Amino acid sequence: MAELEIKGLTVAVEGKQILAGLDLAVAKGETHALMGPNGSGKSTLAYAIMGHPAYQITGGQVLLKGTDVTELTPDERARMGLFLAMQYPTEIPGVSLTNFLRTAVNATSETDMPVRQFMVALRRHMADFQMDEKFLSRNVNEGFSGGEKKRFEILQMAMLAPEIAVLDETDSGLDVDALKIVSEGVNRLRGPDLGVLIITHYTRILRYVRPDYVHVMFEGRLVQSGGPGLAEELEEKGYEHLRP
Amino acid sequence: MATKAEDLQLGNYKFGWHDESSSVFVPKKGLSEDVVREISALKDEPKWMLDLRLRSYQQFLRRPMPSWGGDLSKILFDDIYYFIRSTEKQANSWEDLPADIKNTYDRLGIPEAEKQRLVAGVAAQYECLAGDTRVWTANRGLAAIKEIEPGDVVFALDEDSGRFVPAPVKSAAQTDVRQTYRVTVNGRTIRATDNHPFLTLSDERKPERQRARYARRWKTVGELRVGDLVAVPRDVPGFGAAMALPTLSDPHGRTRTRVPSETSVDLLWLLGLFVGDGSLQSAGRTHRVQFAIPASQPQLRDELTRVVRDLFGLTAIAADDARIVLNSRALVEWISDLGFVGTALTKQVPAWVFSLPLDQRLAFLGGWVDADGYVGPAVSDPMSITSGNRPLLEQASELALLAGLRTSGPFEFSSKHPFDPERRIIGFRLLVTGPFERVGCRNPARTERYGRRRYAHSNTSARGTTFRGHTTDHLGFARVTAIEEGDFEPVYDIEVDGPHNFVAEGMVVHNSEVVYHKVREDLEAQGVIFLDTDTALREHPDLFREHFTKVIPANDNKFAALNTAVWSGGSFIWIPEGVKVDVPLQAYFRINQQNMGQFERTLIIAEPGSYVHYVEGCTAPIYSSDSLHSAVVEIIVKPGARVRYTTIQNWSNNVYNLVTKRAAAYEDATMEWIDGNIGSKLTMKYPAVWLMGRGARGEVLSVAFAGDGQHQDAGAKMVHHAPDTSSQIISKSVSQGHGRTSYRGLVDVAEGAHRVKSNVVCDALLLDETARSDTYPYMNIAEDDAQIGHEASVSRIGEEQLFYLQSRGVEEFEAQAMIVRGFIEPISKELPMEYSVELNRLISLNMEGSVG
Repeated sequence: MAELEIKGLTVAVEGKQILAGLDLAVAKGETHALMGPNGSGKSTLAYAIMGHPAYQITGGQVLLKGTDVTELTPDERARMGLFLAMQYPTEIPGVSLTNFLRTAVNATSETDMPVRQFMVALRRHMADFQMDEKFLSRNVNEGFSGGEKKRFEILQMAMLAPEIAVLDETDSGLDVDALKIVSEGVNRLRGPDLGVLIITHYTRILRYVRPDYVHVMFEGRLVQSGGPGLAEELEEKGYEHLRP
Repeated sequence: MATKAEDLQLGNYKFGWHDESSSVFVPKKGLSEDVVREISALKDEPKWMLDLRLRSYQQFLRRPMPSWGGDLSKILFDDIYYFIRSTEKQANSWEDLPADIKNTYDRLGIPEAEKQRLVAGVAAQYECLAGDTRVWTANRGLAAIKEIEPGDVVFALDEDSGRFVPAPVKSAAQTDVRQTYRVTVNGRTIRATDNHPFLTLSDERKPERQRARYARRWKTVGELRVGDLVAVPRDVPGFGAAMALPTLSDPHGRTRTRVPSETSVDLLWLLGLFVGDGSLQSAGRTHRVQFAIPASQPQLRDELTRVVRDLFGLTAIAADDARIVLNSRALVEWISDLGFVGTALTKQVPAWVFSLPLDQRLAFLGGWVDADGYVGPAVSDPMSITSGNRPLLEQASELALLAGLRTSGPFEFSSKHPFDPERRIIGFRLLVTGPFERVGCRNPARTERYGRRRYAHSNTSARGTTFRGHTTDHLGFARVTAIEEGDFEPVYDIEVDGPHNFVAEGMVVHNSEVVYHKVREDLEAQGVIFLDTDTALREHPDLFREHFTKVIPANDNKFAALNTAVWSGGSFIWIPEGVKVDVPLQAYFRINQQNMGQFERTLIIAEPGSYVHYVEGCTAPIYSSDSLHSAVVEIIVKPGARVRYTTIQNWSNNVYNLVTKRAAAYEDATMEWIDGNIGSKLTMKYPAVWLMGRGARGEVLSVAFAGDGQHQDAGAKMVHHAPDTSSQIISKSVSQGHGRTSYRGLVDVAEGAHRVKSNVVCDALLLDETARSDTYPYMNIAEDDAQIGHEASVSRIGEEQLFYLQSRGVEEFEAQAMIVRGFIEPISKELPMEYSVELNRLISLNMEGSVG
């Protein structure tokens, strides 16, 4: 059974239909790349999977581990093992990164993690993402550079250990070094217990994180799916030849 | 812990308390000249005070009601009691308090520390540690505080000599179930109640000086901040004694094995080696002790062979390239009897090892490091021990700490399996630093690398010239890296005979002595006067008359006039020149009767160069009908002095809270108001600083929360009368439901007040569409060279912020509360910790109240 299954999903934002019957399934252990030109509905899909209130599901289903989660709140979905690395992470003034992460880790696990163990894990992951200790006392995303925000998103993914992770344009706004750090992070987290959906406009990140499957999206639906070769083809030819 | 609003059942205001009351003087409602005379007569006041009251009463009648701010038309002045004398005396301890008050606090889930504050800031209290806190003892190594008994011997710092001395425990007990806080120093965490003092070095540099000047101070957890320096032992005196050993069990008299009669350095080295690389095998007819020491370490093999021969009269056999074995059933049983049992993942260091003399403990660690340890080649490399058994490494850490070494970890690591590329090994590694050359290793692979290090962290360095003067070979200081709110849990305390401290989790902490009693004595010794205002008028009439109404004249406004006419209670504080009071002074005002007006009067005089932080009790009485609280606070901050005044008011939602607060700050003086407004129906309160002398500084930090039906009209006034004065106002307000907050502020720069700097920031957060916030900034600037900044913002709680937090698993309500806590964080971080916890809790309760 696929961990994440999307069936005939249609989504509207402010009355305008963006997704027009999309089907996709991501199983544990698999890495999927979802590509498409600007405006094809990639980010809408990401928000709809996570349950953003502004993205209204007008038809179809999102299933997590076989359960229809369309009516569930984002926090309920997160506690079922879903994670979304956001394209534009939000600043939360006055809330320290440590406090935020601890609340999130404890919210998504059955028992509270002892502080010491939490700090050890956090420091280890921060070292992996080359994040300075000073981050611990900073506020969530406040004054972070674009690259720092993205690294922090993947750090959260590492701490929360989700079963399905959706990475929404995590590569955008990253320089080559930051992209490598983030990609290595994602690669470290990949494994038999994690399904990953990478949403991206460019093929760049796919050079570092090799997907098992590549899907191309146009106007709210998938128009083609294939293996990693499809990404290379897109790199050469662009999206236009796939326009339906 | 979250207290559910519906559990409280406290009447129409859920988060305050209600208590039954009895009074000796049952007054008439309403105000007249007779009532004013009666109040003065009952208090047996001097004539000048009666005259002042009567004049003020006339001014009260003449002054107009404010037409701005909130709606005051519903105040019924004739329906209020103006004076009540309670039958109850001020309680001196928590136990003395009436049961109804205690009950209410319990229902509120307010931290226990807050309860202690009920009793005028100076009360008996226990300072406690969580039950599993490990205390360093001389008779049994590290022991959990809950297991400590009278007669055990702990290590205590003799503050005069800076040395640690063994000191017997007089008493030990569970004292309570309390809120604890986690304080982390040197990677070790201790859980203590907020009033538990730690020995610290406090930086008391003179203003404008770059170099720190350190002084040793006992600071409570509530006063500790991240970055503070906490005393840690660098070395403890030798303790422990060799232990007599069991004899061999040899029922048939057949064994050739002999065993020593008491512990020795050789034996402990061997046992350390055994913990690292040894195992016992008993299967069928094979009984042997084996050590996994490879042939590639011939010197270590030789040493083991020698020790085995000397101790046991046995021949060690090199079984193969990987192992040395000792064939002796009796020895296998003897080692088991000593407590060395279990598999690699379950074995433990027997408790008796911790009570051995230092050289034997170091030999034990040495053997262990010879087997499972490593000393890196680089000059900065630590000593390390690895194992898959984390608790075992934690024991190694304790042994090292008790021997005056430093440790960090155990850290988890994973590495490739040596044979199987598909598998990974997960293990733990403990790092040992400090003077680890003392560890009694015998393996040349380790000892050859001793003495290479050029740098060792020793807790003896920090910026500042006077730091080293406070460190000794025995005592160092390490920084606090984290302080976090912990759980409610059973807490324990011990009382030490001798120095009033002991070492727990590697930090020097105070023992159970009633420090706050001591505070009162200390205050008296410093010449500080801290009394209720009625008593101060009787006992210090001249001082009182010289300052009373000098900052806020009786005719300042209608409510100041009313207060001056009928005032009763409040605090009087006088700080002598140059005296710095290092604990916050706190007071609690109690109201006993419905419909009783509260007109307390507070007067604080800080003589030149002095410092005091005054915290006004966070009270929450409840009334059956609308009531009036109209206090006056006057503060005189003389040249170079600094006063900080903190209030969080939590009046019930039918109280008019109309308070006049003003300070006069003279040359180079600093006045800080920290003002939280959570309760009341209407608050009108604008703490003011009149900057009267060159270089004076004023600051107001205020936070307001207005729920349904509440109006918080709060702000600040800064009146610059002198050149080079500066002021800062930071106001944060949150409104919910139909709640309304207003910021009303004045910045006034008088003629001749050159080079004034003033900055105002007011931010409002609205939680609902119906909530309202307004800003009324007034400015009156007479000099062109003033630098005045003003920023204001109003925002709604962001959908994106909520979504972000929820997408991380945080429920919507908690996400909202987190955003609100973050919003007010610039102010809550300025509060003593237990107050900031309480402020956050009150706001959450209020938010929850109207959500549900």
